[in-house]
Amino acid sequence: MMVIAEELGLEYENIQLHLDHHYGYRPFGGGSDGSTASSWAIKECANILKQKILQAAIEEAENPSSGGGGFGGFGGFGRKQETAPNPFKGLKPEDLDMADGKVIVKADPEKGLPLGQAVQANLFATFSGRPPQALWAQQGRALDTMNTATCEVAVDTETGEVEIIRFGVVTDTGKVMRQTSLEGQIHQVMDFTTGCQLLEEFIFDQKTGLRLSTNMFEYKKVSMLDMPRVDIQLLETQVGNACYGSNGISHSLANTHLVIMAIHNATGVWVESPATPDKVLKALGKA
Amino acid sequence: MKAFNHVNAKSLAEVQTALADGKTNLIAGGTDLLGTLKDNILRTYPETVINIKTVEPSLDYIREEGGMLKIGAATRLADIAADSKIQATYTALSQAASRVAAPHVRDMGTLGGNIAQLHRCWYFRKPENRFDCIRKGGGTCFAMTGDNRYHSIFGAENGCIAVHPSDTAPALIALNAKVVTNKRTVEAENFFEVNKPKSTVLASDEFIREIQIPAPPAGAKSAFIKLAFRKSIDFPIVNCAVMVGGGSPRICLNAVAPKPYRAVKAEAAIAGKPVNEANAAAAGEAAVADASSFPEAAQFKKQIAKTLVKRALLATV
Repeated sequence: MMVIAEELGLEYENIQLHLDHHYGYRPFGGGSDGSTASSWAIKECANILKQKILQAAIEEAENPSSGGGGFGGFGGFGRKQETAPNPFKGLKPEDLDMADGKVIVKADPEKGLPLGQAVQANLFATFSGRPPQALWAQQGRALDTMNTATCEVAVDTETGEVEIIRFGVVTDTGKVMRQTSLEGQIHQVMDFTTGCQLLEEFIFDQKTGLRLSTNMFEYKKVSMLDMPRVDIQLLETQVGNACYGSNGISHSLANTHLVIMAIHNATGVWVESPATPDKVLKALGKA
Repeated sequence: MKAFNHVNAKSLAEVQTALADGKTNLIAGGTDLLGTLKDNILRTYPETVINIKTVEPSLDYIREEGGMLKIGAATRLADIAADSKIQATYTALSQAASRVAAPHVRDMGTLGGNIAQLHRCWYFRKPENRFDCIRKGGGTCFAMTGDNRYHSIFGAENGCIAVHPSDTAPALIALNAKVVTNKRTVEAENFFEVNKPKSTVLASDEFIREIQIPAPPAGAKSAFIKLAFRKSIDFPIVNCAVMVGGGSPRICLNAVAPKPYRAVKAEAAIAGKPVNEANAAAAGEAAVADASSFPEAAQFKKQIAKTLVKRALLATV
């Protein structure tokens, strides 16, 4: 919806979304490439609609009676003919643009009509297509998301406990589409990172093959209190594959050894992940 | 979960009668019991669950009386943690109660339930009784030869090396508490036992009525420390409660043995000495002097146990 508003020069509030479940319509997200794939398709579709709007604005300027109303409407009924001359008369669609809720004349943006006056017809546009290949799928032939993450830990060498003081993340998602979602995604992957490297473990009984860490006490997901601070800096180089140069973020910051490397940096010893106190103490020669 | 009857008891006599049939379980907060029933970990399943929270007079109280603190068995852990008297005078208990599980569990779980909970062992607790272990009447302790990284470092009791997971138990032992049942009064220290599948000395028709804690000797201070992997909703890897500074020192560890482990050698090591870094560290070393070299995978708990003893002692000064 943000993309549609942007392309059509409208406010976000002017866009309504109707997902008609009767037709089994499902927005296809493209998995880890979701916002970039769908926003790309929406942008293509919005531009098709925009061309139709500008075309209709010219047609209705040339032939006011034809633009009197869409099907099922009452356009023209009881309506007085516009007395002011239509500013689009004699122009071509490519001479027009859309901005601030209006159809305007490119050469003189002061000239224009509110969208509701410029175009009376009901217009539709559809688009389907395959989004540009995700950067991460191009095997290094294109510039991918550039992320840097840092981790600061405190290791209690008497108990083997590791506390992550903070994560630092600098990420270039090309273009930030929705900052809160982006930050949420980053916090989420740092939660994965914490759990993977400090706590989460499938433990199996060697003799029977049965899993022993069966429940959420023994398979330890990170609790809110264990979630470290994440300092985030966002970059927008606009070199992504999708609309406005965005390239998404997905789980690209999730990693398996950032915390382990920080522990090594703090203590000089390598610990297998998850770095539970037993392993840390063993690595330190204290168990 | 299988179906069972639920009865709201009106009196303690009714509870005792109901438990005598051997097919009835007592419920207070239910935070441990319902988990065991949902996972169907035991050989037997209760026909009836009797609710002790509804008895009159209520077992939900905290009061000072006759030079001691009396806490009803059905008093919720959250209320104990929030009580200003307990915070000031029986600090270790307050700190222990505040570290049990997470807020929702503390709002439901009771002090009686916390000390009567069943052991934590992933073989014992595996759903659908997949490991019919020695605690349940079987012939084998699967942890002995299996994955025992979090098990007892002070040997087995009745063939079992699962650890007692209570946070409040070591605090009560350090504070010299007594457990009053419907039949007798037992020193907290003598309350715990591997009593298949129970973790206490309670007989089948016996239940906890009250916990009594004598006012600490003049000058005594207590503290509790817990090491768990997570900061919330986690059982201890090791925990420790101490009371020092007046009378004989008392030091108790838990999650290191099948029952709370009173570290008498650590008590002797610190007795009569000022609590400082060196003396506290020496007490820590003494606390694990009798630890076993089995299981190999759990040896790290010695290092943690001695550190917690040292730090709990230092926390009192």
